[in-house]
Amino acid sequence: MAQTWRSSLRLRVFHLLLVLSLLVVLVVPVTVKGDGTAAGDVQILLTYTLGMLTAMISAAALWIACAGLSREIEGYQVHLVVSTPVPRWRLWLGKWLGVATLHGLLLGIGAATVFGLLHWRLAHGIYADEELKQVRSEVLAGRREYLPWQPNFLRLAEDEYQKRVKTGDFGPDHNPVQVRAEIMRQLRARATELPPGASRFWVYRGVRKPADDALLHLRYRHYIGSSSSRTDQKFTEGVWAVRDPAANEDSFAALPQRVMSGAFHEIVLPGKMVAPDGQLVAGYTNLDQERTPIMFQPADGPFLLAPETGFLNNYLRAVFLAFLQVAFLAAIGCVFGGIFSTPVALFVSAMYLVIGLLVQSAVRAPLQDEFGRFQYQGLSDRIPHYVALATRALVVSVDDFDATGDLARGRLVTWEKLGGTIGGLLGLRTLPLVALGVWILTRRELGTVVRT
Amino acid sequence: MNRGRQLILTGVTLLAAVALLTGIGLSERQLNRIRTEAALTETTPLENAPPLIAFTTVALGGFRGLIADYLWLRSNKLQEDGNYFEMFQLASWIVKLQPRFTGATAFLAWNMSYNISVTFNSFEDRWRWVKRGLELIRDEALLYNPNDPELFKELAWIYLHKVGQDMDDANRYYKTQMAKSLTAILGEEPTNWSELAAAPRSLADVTGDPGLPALAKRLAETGLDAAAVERSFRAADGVLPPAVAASLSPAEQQRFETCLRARWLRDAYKLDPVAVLAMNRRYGPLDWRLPQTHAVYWATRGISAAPKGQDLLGCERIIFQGLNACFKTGRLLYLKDLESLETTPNIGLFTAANQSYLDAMARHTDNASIRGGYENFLIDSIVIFYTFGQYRQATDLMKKAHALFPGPKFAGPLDEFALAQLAEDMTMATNAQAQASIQGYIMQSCYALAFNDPDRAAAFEGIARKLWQKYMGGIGKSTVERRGLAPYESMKRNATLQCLQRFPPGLASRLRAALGASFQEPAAPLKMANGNTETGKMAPVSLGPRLDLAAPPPPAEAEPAPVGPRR
Repeated sequence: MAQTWRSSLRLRVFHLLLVLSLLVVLVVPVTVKGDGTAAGDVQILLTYTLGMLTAMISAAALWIACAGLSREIEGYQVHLVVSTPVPRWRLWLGKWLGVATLHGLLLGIGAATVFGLLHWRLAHGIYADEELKQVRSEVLAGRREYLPWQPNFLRLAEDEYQKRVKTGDFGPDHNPVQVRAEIMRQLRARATELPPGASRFWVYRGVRKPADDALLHLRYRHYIGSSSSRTDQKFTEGVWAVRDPAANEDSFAALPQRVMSGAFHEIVLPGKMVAPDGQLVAGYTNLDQERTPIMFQPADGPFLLAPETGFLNNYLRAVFLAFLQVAFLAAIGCVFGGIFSTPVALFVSAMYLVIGLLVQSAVRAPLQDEFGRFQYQGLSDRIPHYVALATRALVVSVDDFDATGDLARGRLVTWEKLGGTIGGLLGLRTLPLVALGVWILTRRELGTVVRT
Repeated sequence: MNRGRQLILTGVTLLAAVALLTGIGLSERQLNRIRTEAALTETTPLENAPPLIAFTTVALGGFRGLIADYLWLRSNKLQEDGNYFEMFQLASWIVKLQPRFTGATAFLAWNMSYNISVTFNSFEDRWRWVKRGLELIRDEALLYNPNDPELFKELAWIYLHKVGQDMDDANRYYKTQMAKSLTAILGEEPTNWSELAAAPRSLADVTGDPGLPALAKRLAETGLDAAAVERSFRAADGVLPPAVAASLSPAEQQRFETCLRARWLRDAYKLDPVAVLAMNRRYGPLDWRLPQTHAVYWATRGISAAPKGQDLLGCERIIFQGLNACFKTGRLLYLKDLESLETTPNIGLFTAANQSYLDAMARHTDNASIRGGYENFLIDSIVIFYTFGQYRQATDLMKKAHALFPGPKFAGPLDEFALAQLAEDMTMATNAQAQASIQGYIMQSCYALAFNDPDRAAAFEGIARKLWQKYMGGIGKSTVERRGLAPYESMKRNATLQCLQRFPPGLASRLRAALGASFQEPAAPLKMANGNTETGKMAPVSLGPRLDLAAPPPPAEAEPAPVGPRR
């Protein structure tokens, strides 16, 4: 590991990327422009500075990991090590640890600088107290996103189907699959649409009880007419009502709204609206003046955003995910560097990452019905999609590690995401590749390498 | 591989290379011709581009498009998710990567000014996004494409339509903010454009100005340099630091302020006082605190900057529509807050507006829409002249209109025509039209009062009040904020003050006497309320009319909301 540190520090590529990383930390914050609000400035600073810093350090880690092992093999230095009783997996592990820890350290220093810079700007900025308050509640926070409770449409559809079969609504030659699907479509449509004058309530359960004066946000989007048509969207009126648990059972606080449909909006709620048992009830009444039905799609929430942890905690989690990305790329680089020459290892690593990025689009490409099932046009559609799904299951995308988006929007980087990354991405998908790489390195006859 | 095979392989490869190069050589000329004919290649170099942009456009070559595509996709995704904080930066990068792609720039600007702005409830937030759209074209794209009339037209359109018209709930806020900002820059009316046009451009030239002897030295004695004074001047809404003001004579102070104002105007609104002066001479006394005037400015600049042979109809349309708007509502009468924003017809601009239509019709003889627009302009103009008591002009215009548009419409008597139009107008009037009509009747009432005809004055005033009620009653509760007029009593008072200022002294005295002591005139002449300290903050955001919560299911003892709107 120490040897890897020394050789890495001698590489010009490392120096170049180090300078670029420094530039990113110092120059990006003064060149990017947000939307003119304090929150926008902080968000763009976090997104670009931390994102670019992670990208630079990741690129350096990949390059040095690829070059480190393959060059030592090509340059015969590795013979000095493999001729000793040191097993090759330890050689590999030392390389990986060296690259990962060195770049992890750089990432830590860079991230600490960004954190300090951000707070320095906030302390010495031109922002009004009101703006800073908003930044603290919406950006410099770790807010968990809660989805409302949803009925089990499959079970409801099945119950309804059985009920109607018993009452003899369907003939003996009906297609049960189609009928069930139609019943479910109707049930979902009923749950989505809100006719004029009608109300709909959402229940959020298991919300961690915040302080009474903490600020919660209810983020929602509704549509008028078709959700795919932007031209149908217009201003619409309605009332949000939130149950006050401190008062009697039916006491609601109301907020009239006149907002543009088809866009996300947020209303602010005090923490006291969450009941001691972690339940919050919010409802919307459609008072559109043209008496038009509106639609709340399940994918658009309404989401309840409740503070759960502070910014530092959330920031550390995001940086830890970035470190996992660096460690992952170091592993990929060491695997291919142990098998191929430097340029080939770099090419293969780059292809692995490109495939990881592109396959996500391929997975989402086929049309889906309202139940989220893929609609294939034929075998030419189905087979590539199966290939894409299989590839997605095997290949890790660097996007999967990214938490800067969550961080910049004040969303909690959850333990579930961290666990999923460590267990799913690294444990299940990367470890087999690493094992394969180490095995090949072990089997490889290093003495046959001839410099051409 | 033996040497013979290697030679053969090399020979075959070389032959293949020669054959391919020959093929390329033969087809290249034709490809280049097609590229030129289809305008696929930018051959003219970028103008005014900073080194980074010039380098980027050359160094990245065809990859610029790919990067711009990626940024575009990211921008769409963010917008879909309701995350807007990156939008301006992404738009700015796309413009830098593809500085010639006018359509993309126009879309991005329009998207920010129109689509993103309306997703916010707060007027302050909306205005910020409208300005972002304006800035993208005005401060960036036009810098790289100073001869592209399409960009000028798009910029002018946002000023004319988004800010100038009343389609947006927040339009009055936009107008108010713009007027306040320009009032701070230009100072008290009337603006001396000749002096602004003659003012030096750079700070170095300002400190070396012969009218400001040893300015640098005197500023240094106050502990400030010219740049610091300029920053302070702008931060204080156009007021010099007291120490600096004390060190200058009144004439020097005025000269120094003029220099700083000219620079501020160029920086903030990219208005060139020389061009403004030329336009004032060409069109008449334009009020530069209003958005429609800026629309006319940019469209006029677009026409003068465009290379010969370009289609300029878009800019021409903005000019005649903009001058039409300037004629109808082109003078800022009073501005204190949102509710008190009041404009009045700028009758001195009739000739320019009329001529702009006639010129456009002469250039585009087969364009029916311009002719239709002109007919509507004539109708509105006749009514405005009529309501402002300028009967002779209204009658002359009727005759001209009848000659141009034969038929029954302009054939009848003036009174009948105007009153029919007024009744129709009030049911479909825009804020500007309603305002102009009501002000006209109040002014006629003042005339009658000054001529000792109280019955006639009362009749006119009664009509004005009824028109106000009819208009306000007809616009519906949901559009009061967007289309509503100032309170009637406020409009009446301001129009009366206008009469006192505009009437010949003798007539004004008679009006003053007729109004009696109960009518309190301000100590100073009517002017724009300047120096409002409530910069950047507006009155509490209204969520529109209170909604009837009579039966919100489930039962609601609706408390005064502890929930609040998000900004």
